[in-house]
Amino acid sequence: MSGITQSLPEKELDKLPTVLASIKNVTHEAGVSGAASFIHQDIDTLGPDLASIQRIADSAGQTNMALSIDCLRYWEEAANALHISIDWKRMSEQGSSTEVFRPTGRIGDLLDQKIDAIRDQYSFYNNVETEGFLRNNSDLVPILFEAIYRIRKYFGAAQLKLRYSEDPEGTGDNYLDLAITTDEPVDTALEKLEAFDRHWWLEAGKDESRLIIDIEIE
Amino acid sequence: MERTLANGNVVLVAHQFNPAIIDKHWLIKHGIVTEDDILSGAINIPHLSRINTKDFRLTVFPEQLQFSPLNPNKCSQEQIRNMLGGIVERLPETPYTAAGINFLWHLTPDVTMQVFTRSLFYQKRKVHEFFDTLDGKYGAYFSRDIFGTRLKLDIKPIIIKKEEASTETLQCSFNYHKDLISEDKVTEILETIQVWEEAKKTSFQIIERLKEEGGI
Repeated sequence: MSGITQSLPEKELDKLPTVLASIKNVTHEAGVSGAASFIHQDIDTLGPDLASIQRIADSAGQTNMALSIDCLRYWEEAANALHISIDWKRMSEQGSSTEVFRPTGRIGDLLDQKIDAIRDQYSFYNNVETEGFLRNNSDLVPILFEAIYRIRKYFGAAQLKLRYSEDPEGTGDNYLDLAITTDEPVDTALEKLEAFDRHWWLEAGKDESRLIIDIEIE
Repeated sequence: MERTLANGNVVLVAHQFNPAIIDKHWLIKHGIVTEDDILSGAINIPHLSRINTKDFRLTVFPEQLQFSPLNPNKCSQEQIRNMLGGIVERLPETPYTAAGINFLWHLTPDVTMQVFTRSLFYQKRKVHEFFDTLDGKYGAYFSRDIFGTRLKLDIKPIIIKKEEASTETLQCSFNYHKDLISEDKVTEILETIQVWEEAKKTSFQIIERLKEEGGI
């Protein structure tokens, strides 16, 4: 069989302009190519930041950052396209989002690379569930990459852990816990977390209920 | 019982497309559409091209080109031949590997989905017996060769969400798949497009049978 000829849902493809434009709040007909150029600009800006992550990691003895700037290029576009496929896949009998979707082709390969790179930086508590959640919520991947850089600014080489958690009230609103493990005194760690929240996460994560970032004192 | 043709389209698979070159200017330049046909909402980025016209929507990913008439019920084979065929003929060097025609039907029964799907698909078999509960729902997969393609039919209950309201419907997804094996891929694609009407009619007839057999 030479590739799958089943179609992607037009209803979901119609969301593409909104999804792409919302990345940087550019107006649509500016067009989406405007949004794409913003993405590239962001990636270029991210380049030096990644270099600084590398320096911090090197100084902390973590040399294998496995973050390739080239690999990140166009990632957001691919992730958005992928997200649409996943939304389609979710349109099952119960609207379930717990089924792991393995996309095929280059987008699937790209997602595999990204999840491997995430795994290099984060310890997964519950491996299967965490990976499954990431596959079904692949738009979290760029956020997790950026979180590394933001966290390292305040917590240096602290160990980062990801844990898939289910909403205790059983509403189905499941999420990832990102634990920053630190051996610093509690007051110092909390001050740093507050600064981290104030300078990035409160704004970046204000509409993001699928990721909770907290500290874990060793 | 309500039946709706929710979608109908043609998908081409290649190794691989270059979405960057297929934009509205390219379509106008090659006489496939006029400037007046183009609607707003076009996207053209390196890994994706999406063009809306008053007759069809065209989406191109590196692996896949999707041509969706706005009204698959009324769109004629000749129109598809002129529009999609026109695109394919102007990209003869593209390494096409497969072509497919898709129809997506939704059947919304007057009875519950449990009752409806049970009447269609339940059999006295061990696996079925496991799902023989008050909340059990059923589906089916069929395939066979027809019109020089491989027809695959997936049937399953789904929930469609529209704003606040949800509707449960039986989704019947028809995929007429053709692997392109000859040297002349363009001709093979054009031949596949030529079964659009027959494929649509066949899918309609199957939907009618499901309606009859599931009628309570």
